Amino acid sequence: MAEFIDYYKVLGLTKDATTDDIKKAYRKLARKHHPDLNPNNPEAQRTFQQINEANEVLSDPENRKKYDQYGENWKHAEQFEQARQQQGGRHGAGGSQTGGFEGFGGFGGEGGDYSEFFEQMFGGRGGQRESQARYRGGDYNAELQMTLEDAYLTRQEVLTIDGKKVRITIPAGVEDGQTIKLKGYGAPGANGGPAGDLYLKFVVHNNGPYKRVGNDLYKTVDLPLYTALLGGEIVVDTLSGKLKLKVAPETQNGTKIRARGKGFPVYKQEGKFGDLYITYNILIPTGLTDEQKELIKQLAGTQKP
Amino acid sequence: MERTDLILVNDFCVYHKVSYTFITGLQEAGLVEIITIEGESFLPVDNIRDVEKLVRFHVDMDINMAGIEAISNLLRQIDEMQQNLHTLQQKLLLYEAGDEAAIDDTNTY
Repeated sequence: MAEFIDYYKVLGLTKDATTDDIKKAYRKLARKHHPDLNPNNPEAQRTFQQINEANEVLSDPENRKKYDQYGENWKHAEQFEQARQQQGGRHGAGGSQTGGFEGFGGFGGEGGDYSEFFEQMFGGRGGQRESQARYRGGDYNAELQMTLEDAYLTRQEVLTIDGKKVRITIPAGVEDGQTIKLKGYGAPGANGGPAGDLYLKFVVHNNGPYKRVGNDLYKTVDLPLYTALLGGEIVVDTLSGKLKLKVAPETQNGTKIRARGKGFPVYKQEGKFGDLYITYNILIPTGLTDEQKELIKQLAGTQKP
Repeated sequence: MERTDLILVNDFCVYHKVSYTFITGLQEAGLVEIITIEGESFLPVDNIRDVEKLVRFHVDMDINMAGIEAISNLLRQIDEMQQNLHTLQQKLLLYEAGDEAAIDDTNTY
């Protein structure tokens, strides 16, 4: 069961606060915690949601009265609601669009839970416009979790939006944290107005052997000692398949080579790729036989100081 | 043909309870784009989210035009810094993985 929240405490007020006190306290806290002023800060967003909720309850005389009356026993307010409904009463709409469709890991994005113009007024709450006016639907924010390998290729994804399955194309090369706008995939409009947009943020998980910096990839590859000493060829796995590399004789440990165009696809630039940087990690043989040790001693003896 | 990509500035002002001069002030500060067609002023639908944010600064947080301009510039800088930070964090991961070789001495294939 949800815990009681002391809205007065959230706003740093006492129960005898005036409407003006509430407004001032809210504005002061909003200037510090509002998501618009704290981009990409989920902590600020959570804090502000509480502040906003407190303000919505306390700045509305009807809601405040109910909250003051029931306080910690707010759960009895349900009975209060029922009684009011029987009397034909109506409660404030409040709240904002934070849900609406499923299939994602959660909601985020700038502005937090607000897009008032479309979500509330365009949803018909304003009442200052003709009822037949056409309103655009609200915007949705969502996150899509994917792996680096997923982001490497252009892919079709089926999303469930408002209970409907929608197929979208995600271009290859999306970045971790990148947000794209899918026009018309938000909430439906009212009275024939256009639908809102879906802001889809990509969270690209990368636990594999590749590190990504922009469009370039970095990978460490083990190299046998003798190949490093004498040179040769090795085959390396890349995201686009196998890559044969010539290893120069006397290659040092930690040497980096660049494979042009073998990195990550550049977003929305077909056929264009970043580079793949490969760092050699030379493997020192273990479990040497006596014969091998003797040969290496002889080799060491030939080394000039 | 009726356009659905524009919103009348007057409608926007009525809903948000902001003055018309507030929106033109934002335009003068270079923070919003207003399109005029046959004497009527419109906001592009694609920019509404950003304009609403500026309205919230004004209405919810009681910030004046000069403050909004300063905040917008700072937010732009924060955005750039966050992008730089993201790139640096990605680069740092290379070194945390134990790879400390310099990128300069690379051979190209």
